[in-house]
Amino acid sequence: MDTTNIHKLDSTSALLNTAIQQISQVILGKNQQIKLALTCLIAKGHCLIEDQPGVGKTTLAHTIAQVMGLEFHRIQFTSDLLPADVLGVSVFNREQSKFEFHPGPIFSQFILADEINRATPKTQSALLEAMEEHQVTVEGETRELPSPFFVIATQNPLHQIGTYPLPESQLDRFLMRIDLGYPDEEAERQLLEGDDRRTIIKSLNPVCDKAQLFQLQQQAASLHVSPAILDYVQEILNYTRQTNAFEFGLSPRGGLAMINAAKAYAFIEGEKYVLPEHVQTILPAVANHRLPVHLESGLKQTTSAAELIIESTSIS
Amino acid sequence: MPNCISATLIYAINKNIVSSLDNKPNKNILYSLLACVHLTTFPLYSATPIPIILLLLTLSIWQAFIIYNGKKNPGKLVLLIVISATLLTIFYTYGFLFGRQPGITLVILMSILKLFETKNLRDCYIIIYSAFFIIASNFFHSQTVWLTIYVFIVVVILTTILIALSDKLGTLSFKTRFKMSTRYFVYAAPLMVVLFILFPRIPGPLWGLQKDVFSSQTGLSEEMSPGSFNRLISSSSIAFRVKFDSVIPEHSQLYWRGIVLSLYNGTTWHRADAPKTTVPNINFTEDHTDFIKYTITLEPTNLKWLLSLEFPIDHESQYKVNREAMLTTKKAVGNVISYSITSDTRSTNIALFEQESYKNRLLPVNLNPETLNFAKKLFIQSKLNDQQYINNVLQYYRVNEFYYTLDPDLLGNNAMDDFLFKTRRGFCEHYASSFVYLMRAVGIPSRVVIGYQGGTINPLDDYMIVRQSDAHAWAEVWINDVWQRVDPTAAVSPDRIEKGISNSGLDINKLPLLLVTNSTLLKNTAFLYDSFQNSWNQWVINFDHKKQTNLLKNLGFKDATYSDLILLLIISFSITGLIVSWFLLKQYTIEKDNTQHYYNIFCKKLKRYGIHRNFYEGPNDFEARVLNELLLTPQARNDVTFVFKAYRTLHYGNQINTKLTNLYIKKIKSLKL
Repeated sequence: MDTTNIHKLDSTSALLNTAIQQISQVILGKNQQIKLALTCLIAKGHCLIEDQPGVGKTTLAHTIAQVMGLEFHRIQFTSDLLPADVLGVSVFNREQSKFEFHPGPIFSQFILADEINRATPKTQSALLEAMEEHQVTVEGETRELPSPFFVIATQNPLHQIGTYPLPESQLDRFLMRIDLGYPDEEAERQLLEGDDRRTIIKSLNPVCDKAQLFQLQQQAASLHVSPAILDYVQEILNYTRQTNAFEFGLSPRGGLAMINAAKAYAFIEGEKYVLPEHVQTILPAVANHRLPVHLESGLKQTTSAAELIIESTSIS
Repeated sequence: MPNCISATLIYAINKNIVSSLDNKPNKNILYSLLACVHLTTFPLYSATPIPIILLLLTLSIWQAFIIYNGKKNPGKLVLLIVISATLLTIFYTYGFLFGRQPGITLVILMSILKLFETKNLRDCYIIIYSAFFIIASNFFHSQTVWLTIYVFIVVVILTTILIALSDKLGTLSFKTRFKMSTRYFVYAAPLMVVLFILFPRIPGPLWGLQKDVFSSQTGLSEEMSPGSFNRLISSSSIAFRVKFDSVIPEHSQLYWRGIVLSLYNGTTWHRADAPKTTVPNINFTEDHTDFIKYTITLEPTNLKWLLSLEFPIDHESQYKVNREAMLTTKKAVGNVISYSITSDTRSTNIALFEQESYKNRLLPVNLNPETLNFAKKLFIQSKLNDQQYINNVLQYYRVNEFYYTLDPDLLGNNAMDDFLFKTRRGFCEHYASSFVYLMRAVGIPSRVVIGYQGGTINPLDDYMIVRQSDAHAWAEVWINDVWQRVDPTAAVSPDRIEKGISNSGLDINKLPLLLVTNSTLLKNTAFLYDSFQNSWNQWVINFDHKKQTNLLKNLGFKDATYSDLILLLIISFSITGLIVSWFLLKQYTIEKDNTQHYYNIFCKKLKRYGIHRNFYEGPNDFEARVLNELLLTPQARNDVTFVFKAYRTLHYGNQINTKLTNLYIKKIKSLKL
């Protein structure tokens, strides 16, 4: 067996495994979701977490920032939040008699945008544009955002009172949407028994620095994607566009998101190339929020869009 | 030295070259770049003046020291001083900064200096690219097969480093990088051949290439003194090769005339000043049957004289025949050159001017009284008949105990007296010299000619090899209004002239081993090697405008102009490129298709055992299910695991691995559960 060509990226995968293990000390019983959130970070995408209040959305974001050694900022979105509160504002300095820019909370490496759907669409789109462009334009002057730049936004379920749902076009800007869900019995027991989460987070040591994270992102992006995987992804895209199950299919950006996420996931798994399983694993997080299910499709409530896609697409 | 360099290099590029992704080169890459510059300049060392080599080594050791200790590079001021010192050294060594040799030296030293300010990968690329330039510049100095092979190897090594530079993640092993680089080289080879054949050649020597003053070859010199042939006789290196278009003359007639020497100062023969007239003193016959047509491929001599048989009458226009019937060229022969000539063996001479006659009768005054007396007596004995006198002189060599030997005794001030009456041991220069002396003593115009005598036919390719050990000197005497060749050595050792130097009875320990060995294996190997060398000269080095035109004519392109050539070049280049890429693509798809094809067969086989792959099931999931649901023997388990692993590598990985593919196919074919 020729092992020279198949040797894995041992050191980097060890680093990421340590990170996952550290995070799972705080967020109990959610290994898969933690992995997906890290995948999102490695793939240079942004992440949307949608769930009930109190399931640990904020804690997850905080822990990831701590473990990955990133500068952390939290923006609580409320209905009266204005774009200037997020981006920053120019204030007139009397002594120097000129305008001075005071950067808003968005000038940070890791941002938790809490309850994003409680803010008005105007504020939402200010954040989302900054996420997409990696830069902010205030009063005619363009300012670069720090790098790496990673946003985790949380969203309350849409049927709650006082929410402005994010439009589909904005949802597309999130690489992934992760559902956390309630912890299982065992994990919940541990949680109830254990120390305060905040103290645990403070006790965690960062496993890498900014430069290393940048290197991880580069390495993941350079992973090999074989023509067979490209075929598979295209077949998935075609299926979503042809089937009656969805109101509309996946956008090209959705396809790219799939490839990038699959690469990052394979990288975390320590593989040198992407396998169909990697695509299947990230598919629910990448595709579900982009695909509005057609009401008259007869799709069962329990089946997600991703499951339907996987079971209808063949791997060659 | 190159071994040491290569070892450093392989050690260095075996490791990852880039420490992190912030584009900062690490120690290994710096070491390998330093080694690279030396690897590329190594063949140039012999032609580089010592101050430059010293500077090169000093800078390299300094740089290696900096790398080893992980120190910071010197500041701008220090660098400025070093650069100025470098420029001054080059200027003082060569006298100027521009031109071929100083230019190359400048590039070499600047690439070393570039290491002193290497901060990021871009600087590394610059050094590698200049290394590619330097390695090509080696061809200015030499164009042997060995150098070409060396250059090819270095190019592969340089490409390996380029790959290592681009492989920022360090995922490839040294072996893989080297294999890739070799593969690229092989792919580029057809394009190289096309370029070589079709690139437009300029008639005449390439870029006026001239040998540098520093290099020296074994070969004839422009003067002759006792012992000057000893060095030549012990050398088996090639002087020139001859391809005859007509019948090959007998060995005893193969006198390759080189240089005519007419001035004697008592010890040494020199060339006389050029005669005023440039019209060659040749009167050739109309009868073409005795013409000899041949092509000589001459190794570099650094002289302006070419070799020819008696007497050249038809030759290429860039050469000239002078008054003394020597074939001359405007520039000293610094590279292997090839020229065709026709000689007329029966040609005669037109006339001898008074001045020439006088010059060819001059003797140093107050020397060799005995010889002069002897000559006078013998001339009177010969009844003042020139021809009779010549015969008697030759007879004198024959009947007295003269020895043909490479260890002559030392001669005193009256060298001719000593040689003719005391030691009587000498080599061709002694006989030629004393013979001409005896002729001039009685006023017969005569001169010494040096060149080569004889040659060996290479039976493999049917051309003649003339070696330095065939060097010879003889006399020409003006008699009956003709320059007549007289070889006094033939009177002493007839075998030398008829059978060649190896059968002349000389001490065989003094001759090159190749000439005197009885081993047929050694001789045949030597002939084989020489055939190869000859083909290289003919088809690579001397592939000039004429040969290119002929080759194209044979291919059906008559009178191809430069624009035709360039068009042809572009077309062939594209076609070759297309063929190579088609071949690559085909190989790739065949391997990829094969992998999937056999995976399907594998799945069918598994279906017979009751487990069916769902169309949406990837290899990982399916493998887990197979191992879970089927009861397998450990052996079968191993095989199944191997097939899945190989399938993943081949189908989803990015490398073509023929060995693994074959094993994978074999395992699937023989799979039994």
